[in-house]
Amino acid sequence: MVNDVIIRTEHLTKVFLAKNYGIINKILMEKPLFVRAVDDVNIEIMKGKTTALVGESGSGKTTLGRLLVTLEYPTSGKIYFHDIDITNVRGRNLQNVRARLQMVFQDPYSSLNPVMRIKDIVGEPLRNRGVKGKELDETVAKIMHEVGLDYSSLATRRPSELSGGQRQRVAIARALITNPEFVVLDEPTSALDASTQAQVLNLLLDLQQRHNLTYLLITHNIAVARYMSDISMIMYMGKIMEIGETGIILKEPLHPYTQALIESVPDIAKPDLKPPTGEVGSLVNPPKGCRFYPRCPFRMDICKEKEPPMIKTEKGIRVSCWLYVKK
Amino acid sequence: MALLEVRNLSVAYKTPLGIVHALEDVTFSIDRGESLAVVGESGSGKSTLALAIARLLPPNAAYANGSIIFDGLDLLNMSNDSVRKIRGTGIFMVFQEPATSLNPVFKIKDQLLEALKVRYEREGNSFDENRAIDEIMKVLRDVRMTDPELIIDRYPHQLSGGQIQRIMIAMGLLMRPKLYIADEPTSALDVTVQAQILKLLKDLKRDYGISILFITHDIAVASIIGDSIMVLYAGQLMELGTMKDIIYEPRHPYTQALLNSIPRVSKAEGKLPMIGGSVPNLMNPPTGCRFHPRCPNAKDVCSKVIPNLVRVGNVYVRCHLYGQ
Repeated sequence: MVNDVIIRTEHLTKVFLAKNYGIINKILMEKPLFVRAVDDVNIEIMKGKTTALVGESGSGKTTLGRLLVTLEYPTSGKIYFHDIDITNVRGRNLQNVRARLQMVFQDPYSSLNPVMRIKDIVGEPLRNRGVKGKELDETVAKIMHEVGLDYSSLATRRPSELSGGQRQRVAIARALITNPEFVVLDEPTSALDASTQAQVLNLLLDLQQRHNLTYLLITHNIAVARYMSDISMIMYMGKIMEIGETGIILKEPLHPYTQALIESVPDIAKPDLKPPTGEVGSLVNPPKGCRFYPRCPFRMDICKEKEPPMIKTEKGIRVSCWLYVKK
Repeated sequence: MALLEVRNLSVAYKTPLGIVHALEDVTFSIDRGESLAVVGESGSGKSTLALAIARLLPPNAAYANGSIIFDGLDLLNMSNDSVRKIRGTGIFMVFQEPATSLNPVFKIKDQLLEALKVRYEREGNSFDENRAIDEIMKVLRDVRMTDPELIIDRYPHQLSGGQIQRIMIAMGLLMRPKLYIADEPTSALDVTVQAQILKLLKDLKRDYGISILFITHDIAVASIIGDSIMVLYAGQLMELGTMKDIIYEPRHPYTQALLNSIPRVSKAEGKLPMIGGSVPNLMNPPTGCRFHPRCPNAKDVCSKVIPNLVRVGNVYVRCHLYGQ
């Protein structure tokens, strides 16, 4: 397999205003409050592989996903798609880029327009690019068939008439109809029942093989990451904590946060859980040093003062933790 | 005698579009100090079961037949007033959505004090605020709340989901109920916080000897918390028994398929087996066994006759593959 990099980021950062900051606040000399949702992220995503982005709520994983498909502009840093800088593309170029970068959203109950017919929802991205008539209908029928939806019976229905699994298939068909290379899947099965989850996961794997797709799978579920991904990135409070081959990370997690996360996941025949203490901290005023410092069982003085560097281990895992810095 | 005995419970909802058969002929019991995990997908009737036991079903619900005996009392034939006296100190319920379970305009302290007042009243004791505050502090420490002195002066919106769930569990401890019903109490929480709450519930069950009815869609969560497990599908009880028996040797094809189809952290490689189709519409449920349209072992009889709940070894199974 050729290890082509499809997406690369350099110091990618996204900062949101935590509170409305208007003229009155300016007059009162208040300081604006910022949330650092994604903070100095440097990653590479390999072509044809599935990279899992694992984190809890507030870790910035969805924001990072949206940044990578240009749905959000970064505050600073760069994004490269096939080594072309797409950080600030606009207009027609942006449209062309977006056809090749797609996203499947988390909740199929709210991400589909309830008043549109299924075939219009699926075909909309193509229609916006000027495809119409018979050609459009044929393409829609083909992609619907591919994701396991019956065109003749479902094309003119509305989303409310479909089950959760069917709706997520519609969302997948809509994302794939422009023939993208890179697809961000934002918690694609977290709104689905256990018995339909496996259907959708297996469908995604089939489609990936058939179309040579690159996935970024955003999930809070380590078991889903294990099943689907080649590479995992563990994210906590806007920072990447650990990156590497999924198999290695799950077997020998290096970062104390990754260890705590894995110890928290309930699994059948696992006798007990060993969760970390405390809760995810506030992103408004994050700790100065390592973000995990307040909850870390192995914390040292330096962790509080300085952010840890990214260390590469012999097995090719990259981890951001002072425990692994050679003195 | 068991603390809770549910026999042949059926519940239906009347809706403008027709009758929804949410629960059909469910029978089980919970002993004192025991935890039972109820596992089911959406539409399995698991929340209806919880509401039925707490007598909190909406007005459009009808009990077809069956009985719920709690601590020797026949819940279904009691007046609303008598049932109200059981709620809180007899049966305490923790709901799924932490954000909506507390009153937003009162401080945490006042809401916990109110719970204590109710208990003191029912025990025939007079209410002493200083003693009550001491008790609240002790319980908040028991649920591993950090900085309880600060927390009790806050309002619900100032707390995180995990903190509110801890407050709810603490409120339960203050009321000293015989039975905790927890309806997906951890589904809205992050995995690390979920693990903290599950661990806490297990510790409290050991230390306080409470009985727990834990409702969840996640069989992995169920396996952590339950001594026994009940698997519901589309309103029918499919399998009931001790956690070990069912996790290691599931009998019902639905339980088997469910266990095989979830991705696991520790499982060997290979493609996930899937269950075809989707959960049925209960307005018009499949005849016979409600799982038969999706069952790999379905026979003719499965679509015609509802299988009986039969005992196989240590577990109860509702499937034509067993018994007769």
